[in-house]
Amino acid sequence: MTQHSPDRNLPSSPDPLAADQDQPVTPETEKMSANKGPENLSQWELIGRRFMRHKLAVFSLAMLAILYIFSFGAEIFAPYNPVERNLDFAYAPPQVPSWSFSEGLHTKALLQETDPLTFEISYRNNPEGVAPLGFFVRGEPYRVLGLESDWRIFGVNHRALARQGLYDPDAEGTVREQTGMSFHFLGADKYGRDIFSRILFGGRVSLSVGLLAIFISLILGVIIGGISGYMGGAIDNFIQRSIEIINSFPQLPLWLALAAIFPADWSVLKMYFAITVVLSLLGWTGLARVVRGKILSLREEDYAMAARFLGAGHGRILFRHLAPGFTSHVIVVLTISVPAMILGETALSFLGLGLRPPIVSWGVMLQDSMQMQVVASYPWLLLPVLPIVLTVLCFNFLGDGLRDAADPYGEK
Amino acid sequence: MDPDSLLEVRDLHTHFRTDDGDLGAVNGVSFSLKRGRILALVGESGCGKSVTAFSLLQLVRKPGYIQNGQILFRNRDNSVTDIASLKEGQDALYDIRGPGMGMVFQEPMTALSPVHTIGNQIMEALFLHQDIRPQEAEKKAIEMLRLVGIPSPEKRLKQYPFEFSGGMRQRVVIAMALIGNPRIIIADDPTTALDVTIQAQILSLLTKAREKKETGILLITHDLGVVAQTADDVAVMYLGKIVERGSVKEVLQNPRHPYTQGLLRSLPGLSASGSRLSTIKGSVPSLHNIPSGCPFHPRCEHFKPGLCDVGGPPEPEITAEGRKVACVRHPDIPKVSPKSIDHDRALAAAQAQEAKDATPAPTKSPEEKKSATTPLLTLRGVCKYFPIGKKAWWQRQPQTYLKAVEKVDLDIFRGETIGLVGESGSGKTTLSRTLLGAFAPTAGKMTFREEVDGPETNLHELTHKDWKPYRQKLQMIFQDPFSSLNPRMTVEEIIGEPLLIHGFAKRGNMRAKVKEMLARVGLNPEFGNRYPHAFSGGQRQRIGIARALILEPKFVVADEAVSALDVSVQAQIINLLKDLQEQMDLTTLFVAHDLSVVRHLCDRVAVMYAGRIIEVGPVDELFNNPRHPYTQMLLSAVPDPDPDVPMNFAVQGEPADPSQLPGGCSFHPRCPECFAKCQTERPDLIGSRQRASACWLEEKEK
Repeated sequence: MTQHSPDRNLPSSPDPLAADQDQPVTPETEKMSANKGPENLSQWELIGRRFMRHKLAVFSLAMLAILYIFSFGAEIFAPYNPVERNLDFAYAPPQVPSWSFSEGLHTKALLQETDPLTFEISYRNNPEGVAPLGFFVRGEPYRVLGLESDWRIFGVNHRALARQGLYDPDAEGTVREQTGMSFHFLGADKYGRDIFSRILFGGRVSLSVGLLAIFISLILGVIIGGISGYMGGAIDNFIQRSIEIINSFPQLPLWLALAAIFPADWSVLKMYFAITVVLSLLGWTGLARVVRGKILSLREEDYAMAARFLGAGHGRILFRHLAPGFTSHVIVVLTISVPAMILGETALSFLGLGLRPPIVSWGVMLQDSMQMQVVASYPWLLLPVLPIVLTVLCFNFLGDGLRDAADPYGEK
Repeated sequence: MDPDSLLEVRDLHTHFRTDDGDLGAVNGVSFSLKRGRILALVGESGCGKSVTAFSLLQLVRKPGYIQNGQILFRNRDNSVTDIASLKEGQDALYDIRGPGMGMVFQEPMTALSPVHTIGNQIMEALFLHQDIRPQEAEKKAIEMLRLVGIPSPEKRLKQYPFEFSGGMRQRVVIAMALIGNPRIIIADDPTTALDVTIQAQILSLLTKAREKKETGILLITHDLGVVAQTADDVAVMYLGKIVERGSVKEVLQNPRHPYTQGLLRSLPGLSASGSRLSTIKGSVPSLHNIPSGCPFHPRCEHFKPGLCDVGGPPEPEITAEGRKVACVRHPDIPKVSPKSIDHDRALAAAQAQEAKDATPAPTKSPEEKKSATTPLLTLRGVCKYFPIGKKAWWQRQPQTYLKAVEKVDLDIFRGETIGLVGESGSGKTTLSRTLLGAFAPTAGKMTFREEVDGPETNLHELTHKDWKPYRQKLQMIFQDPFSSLNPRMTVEEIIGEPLLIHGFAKRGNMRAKVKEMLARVGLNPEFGNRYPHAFSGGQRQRIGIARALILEPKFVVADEAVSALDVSVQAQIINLLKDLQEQMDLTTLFVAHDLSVVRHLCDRVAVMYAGRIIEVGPVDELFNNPRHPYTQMLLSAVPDPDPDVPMNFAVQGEPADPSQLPGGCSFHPRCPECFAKCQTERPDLIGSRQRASACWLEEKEK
């Protein structure tokens, strides 16, 4: 049977449009405003609108944006390089910036003292002066994208020190090396490395591990869940039972076992990818279930049936009709599972089975706080916990807001 | 307060707090309900009927609240309580809910808790309000179940809701409402979800409750037929206001408000067929934009600018008949009655026929005669079984089947509209979907002959891939205008998709064709870039029709295509379908449970019961002279909107369960004419291809 042009069956009139004119158009075509009211909005615009109403989620999104921007621009946002040692400031306490008319923006300069009996390091304020602080200052040199620079957003103010004659911009050595003044906003660790800088640099790893692992999970989950939901039958059964088996393993020991496979002499980058793969291999199951469930329910919708009656093939039904129905839900599940990935990385690194120094991540930093005595004397070593809590909370709030907004056609 | 009144509602306002401000769903409703009478509240969806009912019991959900007004309820001791002034949590309110006012909900499937037995749920109503011993409560519950017509109540008491059919569940809900011996029963559309035969039974139950208990009943419904057959008084609501009020006889035989008149005229009616329905233009607006002046004026055919569209909504005025009508133009509005509507329709049909006859009919050439007698589609012995209680390979018991469609023979002729009617579960939808290749028939032949002299195609042999070219010829219009359109696609994408699939258009030139189609179904062609959620139910159904017809199919299945729509919109869609059928030379299979729509639209009707076609015939003949007792029963159970045309409440039984069909004729347990042969032998269709019925009476009479 050949396919005809659809015009073939039109009424006798030669011009199909002319045939319309005597058609009694019922006055159903009410005046609908032509402006961009809700009736013109697409699914994504509706989701955006509803999301904006969720204040906490919007705030979380902003917080996360700030966290990511600070981490990925760590070179200029952090006052120091993450691995720079300076034993003069080992275990230096947080230096809170303050302001006075005479000094401007400054912080107390510190003098290191070692208890002769216990060798415990303590600091007292240097009576000889304060460390002036300022924006857009010269700090330690760094390389970004092949460019070398030493400009940082915030730090010890080299201009003020130069005016005092303490710092010579043309001479060798950084401000710290020349003047012995430094600014450790959140304190320093046992090698005198700046904790604030390390948090920003560590965020690079910790925050990106979550995203990368989730991306791998997404691919695995959508493909496996999609097959399971659309094919049904024995394949579905097999996949679902496999997911249950994977889910029934205790997660931490399994992580440990998988992480232990990797040789200790792998490069930092290799290790990083290996850890993401470990995390994502266990993280796709929830997503696969969501995708499968959604496909199962959307498959029964009348519009999927309608597409079948129109002659649409499997691919078209799956991608054109079903997939847009669950992408928003997939995004929600992804958002909510990012914190689990981040926590997973932190836990592994903390236990010494994930990333290892010299790479910096929040989990690696927390290794320093394993000993109770150290924590008791220098509690600021625990500060990397703060960004972890903040990130996890923000991702959860964000996921919450997205979930409420995800189905703009459902109940409020 | 009138001593005879059980309930008096004065100027009730119920509002909803939304992002767009306070929206009034009920805007100043007043009525009173008297002892032993049924007051019907009618109107289309979105008119505030249900909100009114829920307000009476302070059951309006947040963000709704009673903004103003009084709900005066007469207690048993003759004192009067204003329910509107009570707060949630006050004992007085709990004393009124249940023993004061009982509620029967619309959806019997969700009104009962699935985790408690029927008995527990009925008895709970007793324990809440009376100090009663469990044995006594059980006795009362059994008595009540018997009263509402549930067979062997002792056994049924211990069963769960899923073991009951829809009609039986609604009986249980009524029993729950009645057992507290309430003064008032509020029935919120208690029969919409039910078949006409079950509807008749439920309605007769409600009317009986009134006689026995001296209770007053507030019946909320959208069906004027139900009103005419059961209620004493009627109040017609439009956009949160009562526009007309009076006794049922007065209002339905001589409606004075243009909205009531319009509703009556939109009904297809059982008596006449053929002509176009007169409609109310547009649809009920949303609460966001209630028109100024008389809220009905944009849809009113008696609209007078400067009079109807200014000021606030009109106050009820007393008409010459002594009735309250909220219309400023009521003295100028011509009279309308069911008889005059029938008369007008018959006249219009006659004129149309005359016009047709006047144009010299080309003498039928032999080819055309052949075209009229060669069926487009032929079904022979089509069966569709679904396996139930799947057996694994190690289980030896034979597989049991649900026989949804059983040995159907049907010819569908070119250009005709054939109706397929029956109760729910009779296999109508399965048959139509099998015909369109949604699933392969278990047995039987389905042949499709596109051209009179063209080749025949055996549809039942086609694989999924082979079906594709035929999808273009055979199309489907869905019932639910909401779930049948993908909410994530624009209207243009939805309607244009078939063109893309079949390669009739590229993305570039699709738009023009879609626009043309939109205009044909009566939508603004510029709305193509909108999403379905921007459209009302009726407009969505037009989109669905456009999608089905854009491929210029030969044959269309319309599966309950108008049953989800309000009366006024339903009439518009029926007219549209009729016009398109004529223009496009369509053959249509119209699946419906609403017999009046079938009568209006179809040329021929096939009646299905328990998977079989039990009667087939031309529409007028079948409606005027039904032969099968089942068809007779179906027809008699349809409530007529004219109170003078009585309806048969004596309908019995429930549709047969297709997984356990009785032996012999499937209908025999419900058949009033059943005799010995019916219980043992199954009758086949007896008669011609045009007119046949599957009943042993046929043979007996011969």
